[in-house]
Amino acid sequence: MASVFHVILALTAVFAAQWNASSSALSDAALNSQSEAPSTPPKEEKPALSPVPRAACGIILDVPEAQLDLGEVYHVIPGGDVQILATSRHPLYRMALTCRRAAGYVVAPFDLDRAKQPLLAGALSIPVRSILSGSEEIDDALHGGAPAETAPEAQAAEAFLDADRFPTIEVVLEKAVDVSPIGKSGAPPAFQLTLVGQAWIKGQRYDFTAPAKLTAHRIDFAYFMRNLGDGLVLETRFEVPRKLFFPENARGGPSTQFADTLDVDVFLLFSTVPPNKCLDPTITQAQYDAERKVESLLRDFGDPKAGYAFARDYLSAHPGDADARSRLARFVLEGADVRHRDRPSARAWTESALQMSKSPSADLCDLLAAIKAEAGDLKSAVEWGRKAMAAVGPSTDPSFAGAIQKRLSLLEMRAKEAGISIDAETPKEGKAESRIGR
Amino acid sequence: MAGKRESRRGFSGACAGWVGGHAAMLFFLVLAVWPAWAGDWPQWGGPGRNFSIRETRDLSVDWSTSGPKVLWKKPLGDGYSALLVHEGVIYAMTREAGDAGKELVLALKAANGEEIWRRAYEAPVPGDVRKDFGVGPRSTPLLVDGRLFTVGVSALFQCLDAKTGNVLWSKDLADKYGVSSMGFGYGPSPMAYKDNVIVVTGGSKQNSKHGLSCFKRENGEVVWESEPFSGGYPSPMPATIAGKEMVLVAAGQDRLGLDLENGKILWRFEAPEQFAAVFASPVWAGDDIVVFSAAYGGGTHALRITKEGDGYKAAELWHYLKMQVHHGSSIVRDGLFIGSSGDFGPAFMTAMDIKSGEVLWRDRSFAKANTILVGDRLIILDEQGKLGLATPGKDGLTINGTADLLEFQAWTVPTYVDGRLYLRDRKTIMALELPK
Repeated sequence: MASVFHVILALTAVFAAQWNASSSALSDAALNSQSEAPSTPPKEEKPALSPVPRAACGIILDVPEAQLDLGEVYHVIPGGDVQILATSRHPLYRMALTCRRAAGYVVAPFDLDRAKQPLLAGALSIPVRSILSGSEEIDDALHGGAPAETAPEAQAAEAFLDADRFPTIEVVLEKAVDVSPIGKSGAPPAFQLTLVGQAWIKGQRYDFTAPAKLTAHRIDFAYFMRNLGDGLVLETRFEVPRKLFFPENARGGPSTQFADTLDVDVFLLFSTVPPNKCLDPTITQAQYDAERKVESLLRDFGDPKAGYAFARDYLSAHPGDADARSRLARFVLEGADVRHRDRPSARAWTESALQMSKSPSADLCDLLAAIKAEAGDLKSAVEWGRKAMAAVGPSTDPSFAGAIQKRLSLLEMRAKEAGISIDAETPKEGKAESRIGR
Repeated sequence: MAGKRESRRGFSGACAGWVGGHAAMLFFLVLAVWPAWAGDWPQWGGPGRNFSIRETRDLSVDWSTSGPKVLWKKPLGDGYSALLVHEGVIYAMTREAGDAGKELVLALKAANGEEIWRRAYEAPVPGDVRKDFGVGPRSTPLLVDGRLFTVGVSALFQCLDAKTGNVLWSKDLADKYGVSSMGFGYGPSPMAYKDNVIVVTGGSKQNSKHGLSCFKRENGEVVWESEPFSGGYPSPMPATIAGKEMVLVAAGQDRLGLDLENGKILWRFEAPEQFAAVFASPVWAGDDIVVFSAAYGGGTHALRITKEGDGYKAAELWHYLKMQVHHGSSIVRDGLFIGSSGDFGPAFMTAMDIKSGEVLWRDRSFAKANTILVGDRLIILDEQGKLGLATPGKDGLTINGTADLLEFQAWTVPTYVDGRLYLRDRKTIMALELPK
């Protein structure tokens, strides 16, 4: 997986990474589908590899069947770490681009401590809209195409990353060479190696080589608290020219705030337990995958139209599933980094779940309280909050019950401050319910 | 039952005495190591408590069109406890739905699932038990001499009359021993030894009074109580090594062998890499080798147990981190240790050479699974509810047939008796006919 990072940033590198642009370019359709080989055969002798498509859940790649038999698959774990950090040290500006949402995998031998070849296959996919600067203005420019007035023949040269046409940057690992073990005796295996692969950026294919370090993680309690499964970390650092992100003719604007080269730092954590693995025994894997898909479309690809369309299709296919509705509603309303919140949809799903429920769960009542509060109806919000507390039973997760109580207390306080008359407080525990809260 | 040798007896008398005196040991040895005949399934691991059954029937299957023949199927409540079968009766443990639901022991007709009797009792779920995996029973009962020994999720230990379900005696292990639910509810299954029944009674590492305890089956009187060690989920399993009957126990970082006569710890091996609970039961691989497998950093240890002076020593034969049996069953066949390796990620049916620790093959056809050996075939039930029949060899696993029958969290080991397979998940129980 070509520390996909490498891919993105390869052309020159501090550590002698090499990137060679192919004279061929992928068609938009081929790249967007992420499942086809380049439509134009490259002029180089090396045949083009194929980007690996995403799985249905949207946050992992669909490992080809043939690669599953090579060894053990480790999936990229997104979300927590800064996977790619590209720092620009301009004389007048200090800028940084980060990405936390790459999806990918490597295949490694089961017995890494005895392996001569620690990486057998791999791929990475980076949603372009997940590359962020911290500035909305710069992000909009970075994710955009060429300015509207640009002549067709100049589109490629004048375009930024053009997320609409090229939603992802793709990397495929061809092989790892120059492998040398660097782990200490008794410590988990580690290797210095050189990655060889191909990448596609804005439809342009690049062949690359890049040095990297691969480290296995010892499974102990501390690691287990961070991540399930057996882990690997892939790291590399190199430089990349700014022209990979920004048009050569800057003509002012955000791109002028970046230096000619960017220092790129890559850190990828992989695990044998894929990030879409549902660990909640109260919901199905299919439902969990559907939620991840919505999440990915909204957050990683910045595509609310596709995200909410998918959500509506999923719910239509599961007409009686109150739980799916309330979970999606909660994600849309409260998901930490959801950038596109369709509150009317969330309200509709919640109310639909309520109609389906003979005895609304604590979770559902709490959600309704949140929706009512958002709509400014504090009186109703408090009523629903109290119903939520009344629905808490012995099977409700204690931490969730505590969160409900906290929210209710806040709502009651806000209502009182607003001079809204609310009844006397209801008991903290009420009717037991058989449904387990989140 | 061990007879005392007398030097004044004649040779034949001495032989007879030796044989008679060691009958229990020999019987025990045969059952624990070799597959037993498929007459009934009276305990965790089947008649030999080793998940292995002799079978001469042809288990060839053709499930390509309609899947295995389902004889009957009916709802069953929550729980992971395995099914017992004896003389045409299935014994099952489950729980009524709802927070106030009672725990149940059921006797059903094996022919059609019709209920014969049920025993319901209050079994409040301990506060520290995670409820999202359900609160049905985990421990598998023990049926011996017309008595059914059960331990529910709250560690209530009961002896029931197998014909009527009447409670003959009971003990609250949590109350008496401080048995820890370990966060998921009591899991280990009781084991028979002579006239006694042995159960795990360990609590938390700090508060454990007795790791293992032995009671008279007749009345629950204490026979012996071991020294403290932490409780756990694995069931105690028998072994006879260097002429000594012992019980194998996995508890936290401890791998132990205890004297079945008096509960004394004969040997102890520590697995410091084990950072969280062990769930899989130990395996006696025959001769002097025992195998412990676990997730959460433990991996698989094969230990060689040898007599040293008056005591015993456990030495590591090999240790392999990448074989991690989470909570499924494992079997031994033709020098291979076979089980489903994997906890939360993909799982692989894996075969290892018991003596060398070499991995001979891995197969990814099933999710995390339980397996039993019936004749020369493996019956595999994975957590997604996929049933498989397969033939293990030194070179690989040949899948003879698969069928999707149950739902996710089908974590209960299948029960095989006389050509019939009994399965359950958290909602359903079914009986299948296997041979063509």
